[in-house]
This record gives sequence, structure tokens and C-alpha cells, in this order.
Amino acid sequence: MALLTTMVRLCLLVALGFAFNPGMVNGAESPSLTMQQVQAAFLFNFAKFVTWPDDAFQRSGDSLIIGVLGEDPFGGILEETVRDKTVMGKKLTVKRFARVQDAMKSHILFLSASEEGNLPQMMKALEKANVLTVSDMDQFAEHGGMIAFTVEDQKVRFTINIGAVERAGLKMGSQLLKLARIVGDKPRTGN
Amino acid sequence: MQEQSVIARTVSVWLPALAAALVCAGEPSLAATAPKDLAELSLEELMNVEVTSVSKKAERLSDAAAAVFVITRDDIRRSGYTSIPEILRLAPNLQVARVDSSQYAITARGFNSTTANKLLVLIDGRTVYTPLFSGVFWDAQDTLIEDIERIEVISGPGGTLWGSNAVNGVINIITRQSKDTTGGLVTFGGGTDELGGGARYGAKLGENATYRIYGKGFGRDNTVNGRGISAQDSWKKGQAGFRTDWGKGNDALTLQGDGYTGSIDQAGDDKSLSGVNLLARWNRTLQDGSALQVQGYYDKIHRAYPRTFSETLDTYDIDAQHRFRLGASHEIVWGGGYRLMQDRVTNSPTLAFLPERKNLRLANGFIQDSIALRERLQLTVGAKVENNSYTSLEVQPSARLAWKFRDDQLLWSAVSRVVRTPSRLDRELFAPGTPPFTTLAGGPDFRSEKLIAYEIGYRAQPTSRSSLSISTFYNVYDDLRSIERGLGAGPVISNKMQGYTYGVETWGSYLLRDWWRLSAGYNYLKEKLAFESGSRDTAVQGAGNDPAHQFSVRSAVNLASNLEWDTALRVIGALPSPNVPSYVALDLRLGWTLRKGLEFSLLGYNLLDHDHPEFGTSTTRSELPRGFYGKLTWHY
Repeated sequence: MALLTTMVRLCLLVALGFAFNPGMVNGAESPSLTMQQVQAAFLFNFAKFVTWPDDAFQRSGDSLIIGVLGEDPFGGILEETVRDKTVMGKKLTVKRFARVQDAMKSHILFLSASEEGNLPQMMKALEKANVLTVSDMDQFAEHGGMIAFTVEDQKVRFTINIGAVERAGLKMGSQLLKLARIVGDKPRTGN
Repeated sequence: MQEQSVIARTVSVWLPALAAALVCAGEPSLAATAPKDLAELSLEELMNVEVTSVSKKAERLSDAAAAVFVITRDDIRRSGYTSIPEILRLAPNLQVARVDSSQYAITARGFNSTTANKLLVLIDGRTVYTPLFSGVFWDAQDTLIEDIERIEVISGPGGTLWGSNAVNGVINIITRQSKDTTGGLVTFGGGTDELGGGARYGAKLGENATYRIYGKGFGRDNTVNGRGISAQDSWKKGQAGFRTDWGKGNDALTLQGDGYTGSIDQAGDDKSLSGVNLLARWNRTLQDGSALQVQGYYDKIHRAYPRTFSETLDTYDIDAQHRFRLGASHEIVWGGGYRLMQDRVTNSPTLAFLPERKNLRLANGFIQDSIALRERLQLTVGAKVENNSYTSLEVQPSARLAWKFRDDQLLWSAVSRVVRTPSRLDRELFAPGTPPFTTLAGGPDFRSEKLIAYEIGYRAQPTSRSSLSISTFYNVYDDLRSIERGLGAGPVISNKMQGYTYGVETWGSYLLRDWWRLSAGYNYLKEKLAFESGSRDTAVQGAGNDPAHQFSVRSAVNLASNLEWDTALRVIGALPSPNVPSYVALDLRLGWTLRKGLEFSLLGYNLLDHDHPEFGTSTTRSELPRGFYGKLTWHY
């Protein structure tokens, strides 16, 4: 009898211990993850909903290049995400760039926050380059970036600058547009 | 014997499992979902994934050529504080002293008193200082704390953009847009000194608009004086409000309002305060890319102190500003505004504001040009011109230079002239309430107080996990308020104090680990004020009671993905006169997310001392007690 109650008590303790484990409480529906993992998954998804002009793939030997410009926040996460996957029959490769001139070879370009200081020059260089620009820099879309990541209530959201997308010769599927906040180019206003 | 060994065996099996389970409690389950699995999710599913943004990436290095500290939503939530004045303690460039249960003395760069008048405070663009003494009644400034987006605290003059009264600083309280506060929120809490609760509901209003409504109420206990006797200053207040935002194409419109009523205990009949305000703001992006903003608000407050005085103030304000680019390197903002304040006071035998009814008018125009001299060198020059009911034209120019000599380092400097225009207290206060005014006979010749401020600052992000800001200032004041012999029966308020102050404000933040952020701040102030020759005033300390040193350190630790441990320690130097000893205060908070959307917060404040004073003379001042406050917040 004493043994049984002791076992029951210990079982309860173990169960309580698991109650504090966040993964167990939330279950599989919403595990806790880092920004980089979710952003990488989004980058992969964007490839499915954006249409590039036909000649955009001639330079890359028929693979879709996801580039990272500047300090890389992803580590190996991007490669992990796209490994063995294809989009529209094209293989996905990940490349890293230090200069914007080299980065124009990519199809989707993630601009690291480290590049914030040079944003105007980079935007000018990439304007007509058929490259989908993505970043999580502050006010990226308002300054001419195409897709900007934000976090609201601990969930990742994105803002799309339609004008910038069109100027780059790209087309975006409506499934992507309807989930985004849309902005146009505008100068910085007050609060 | 046999039983014991069975138990021992059982324990030896279960104990490691228990230990493993408890250890698991501390580990965020990062590896739970591999990146490949995430890529399988649809866009909608991805948007439902929660991210632990514990290590918020370093903010972009601000280009502002001023000493700006931003109190973020997360700072506010993790402080556990329940009122705006307490939250302002988080800004290392402010002096915050709690006087009693409902009163605070708050200023920047010196001159602190319960009628501190060198700070401009705004809530969503609505100015909240009173023309009675050019200061703020902090017991009337409130909103639902969870709906504050951020508080920008600028120490230093803001005359050009913000106008007179922004002599030593500007506090800009910004609430969240209604599109960011959809859904419901209920919060209630109680503790040793306070009981309170609030609720908010927000939703979409058709295609292009969102709204929210909120209500809150609280009761705060009395403080005690030095001998442990109740100061009889408990108070309670209720407030409700709404906000709606509409946006389509190039236009955005905001309409918001609040109403509150409260009463403050005292010996005798309670003091009462109430108010209502309504603000409308329209933003438009024009064809040429420039931006236009027009804003108007109405604010009515009523305050009654039985047998001392009562006041009703109606404020009507309208202002507009236009921002546009000129050529490749100029960004110009210009605009103006008009404010009408209808003040109606009921006087008493002890003191009187005369005339009882007064209309004050304020008109202003300003222009500012930000010039990119070179790629990383920006010069901002501007001036504001004001016309008010008391003095003639006041001109407040400023020039600011910002040099971003490295990607992660900025040097800035500024010279500004700013004034504090007369308030009713400076010109029209008489004591006793009826003639002869032997104690105080107004201030018929009181002019604006003047400041010329010289500032230099440095801001850096040495690594992506650390940030640092250092600002220094040298303020030259003239025509500061003093009390002089008048022509008639009693002394008058005049401008025969002058002098200079200088100091350093520094703060920094360091992310030691992904789950541990440390922030610290320090400021030093030296004041050299004196009366002009010919002055009869002797009380230099009447200008303000300020500590020479203030130091604070905060630690934010994420013990687990659902458990937060926050520490705030502050060391405030002694106040010279009336003397208040220096003190050290420690606040600890535990935040526990029970499940999605349900958070419990337990705050222990002033833990080091049974109680301590922060302001006032030793015979009458209040002491602030040690206490606890537990709060439950539910988002749905």
C-alpha cells in the first residue's frame, strides 16, 4: 500500500514536471521556434507563389537561387529547409553574397539587417533585376523592399510592396497577396 | 526490509525520470520541429506558428541627433508596473520621484518639483500639461497599460518641433493602433497596496477600419508618513475610452477618446478629478510623395480640491504639418497650430488665480530642414515661432548635426534655444484669496524663462548584441522664476534667477545570452544657479530638488519559454533641499505564461526597505512601502 502511494506520488511529480515543458503543453499545433526557422520556411514558400520572367533562369542553369546578402542569420537552416525540394521543376540552391552586384544572380534575396545602412543604394541596384527582395529590417517595404517580415504577437507576418514587385518584372500569386499587408512606397512620415 | 528495497528500487527508477522531466522544463523545445517539417506547412499554417523572439535582434542604430530613450511594450510588460509614472522610471534620462499615493515629481535634467514645469508630455499627440503651472497632473494621465505601444523619452530641448515647455525634455506616449489590438483582453490584479482591473475589446469595422474600446479601474492605498501614520491619501479612478483607425490608399484617419473620473482621499472632503478628450488625426500621402498630417483635439478636465480651489479647463487644439523632400538632400517639415484654453477657476480664501475666468491662446508656426550634407552627415536646422497670451513672439531655433562615421556608431551635437512661457501660476496667483495680497501678489511682469542648450552625444552598437548611448549637456538658463519685492502689499513672482547646469546621461544594453538581457543607465547632474544682484529671493532650491547621481540596472531573464524573471534595481542620490536621503530600491517580477494567452505576473516592489521617502520635507512627506502585486492577464 505504502509502495503504491509512493509510486503514485512520484508519477504525479513526473507528470507535473512535464506540465512545465512548453513543448508538451502546446502540443504539436504550435511549437516554439526561432525567427530564422520560420523565415526560412517562408522563403521557400515565396518561391511557390512568385513568377519570374522566363529568361531569369537562364543565368542559373535552371535552379532557383535563394541568396543571403550580408551577415547570415540562418546558419544551416536555409539549406536544411530546401534540401531535396523543387519548385516548378527547378532545384533550390542557397548562396551567400557580400556584394549586391553578385547578389543580382539570385531569384530570392534575403537582405540581412547588417545591410541596413546601405539600403537606398542596394534598392537602386536591384530595382529592375528580377530579384524578389526580402528582409526583416525595420520599414523595409516602405523603403522599396518587396517583402518585409515583422513579428506581431509572437507570430510572423509579412508586408508586401506591390509597386516594387511589379517594377522588378515579377508577378505574385493572389494566395500570397491576400495574406499580406500591402503598402506603397512613401516617404517617412511622423508617428 | 523487503518493502524498503522495493521502494528504493522504485525511487531509483523514477527519480532520474523526474529529474529529467524537471530539467526538460528549463529547455525550450527547439529541436522539436525540424526546418524540413516547417517547409511542409502551408502559408496560413506558417503564419500561426509562434516564435520565441527572446533575443530581439538589435534595433537599427537610430539617427536621431538627440538623447532619446524608447520604453518598449516589452519593457513595460516586464516591469510589472501599473501606472505611467512608475513606467517612466524605466527611462534612465528621467528623474521620477513619488511624492505620495497619487502625486509624482517628474522631470529631466533638473528642476524637479511637484509643479515641475520644464517637461512637455503628450499622449498620442495630445498635450497633457496644464496651463495652470506648465506642468503635469500625473494622477490624470492614464490609459490601458497593455495598449501602450511605446514611450519616447527625449531629454533635452524640443522647442523647434514640440514648442515651448519642451525645455528639458519631451515624453511622447504612443498607444497601439487599433489594428494591432483586435481580440479581447481582460486583466485584473491585487496586492498589498493596489487593486485593479481592465478589459479591452477590438475588432475590424468593415474592410478598411478597426476599432477598440477599453475600460479600467483601480484603487490605490494610502501611504504613511515618517512616523507611520496614514497620510490619508488613498485614491481610486475609473477610465474608459476607444480608438478607431481607418486607412485606404493614401489616407489614414484616427479617432480616439477617453473619459475618466476619480477621487483622492484627504482629511476632510475628497478631492475629485475628471476629464474627457477626443482627438482626430488625418494623414495623407500626396501625389508627389510628400506627407500631410492634420490633427485636432478637444480636452476637458475638471479638478476640485474642497476649500482650496477647483478648476475646469477646456482645450481646443488644431495643428497641421507637411513633410516633403526638396532636391536630393533636403527633407523639410513645416506647419503650425492654434490652441485655445478656456480656464475657469473657483478660488478660496487661501489662494486665488485672478481673474477667475481666463482664455489663453497659443499660435505657432515652425519649419525644419534636414540636410544631407554628405552621405553620413546630416544637419537639421529649424525654428518655431510662437505667440501666446502673455508674452509677445517667442522664437525657438535649433541646429543639430548627426555624423554616422561608422555603420554602427553615431556622433551628434546640438544647439537650441527654447523658452518656458508664463503659466497662470507665474502671472496670476495671489495669496491670500482676497486683497490685500500680502503673501503673494501675482507676477505682472513675469517673462518667459529661457534656455540655451549645448549638447553632444554618442551612440553605438559595438556588437549585434549590445548598444550604448552617452549624452552630455550644458544648459544656460536665464530669467528663471524667483520671488521679489513688489510695488504693493506683497512679493511678486519675477525672473531674477539664472545659472547653468551640466551633466551626463548614459545607458546601454547587453544580451549576455539569448535568454538574458542586461540594461543599465546612469546620469549625473550639476546645477549652478544663483540670483541676480538686486534679487531679494534667497531660496535657490525653490527652483528644483535634484539628485546629483542616479543609477539603474535591469535584468530580464527567460528561465523557460513560459517563465520570466525580471529584476530592476535603482540607486537615487540624495536630494539637497528639502533633504531626502539617497535610497536603493529593488523590484522583482516573475512572469508565468500558464497557457497560450494567459499570463500571471507577480511583482515585488521596494523590497529592500520596509518603506522609504522619495520627495518632500521630513515632517510631512510620505514613505513608499514595500509591497506585492499579482496580476492575471488573459488575451483571447
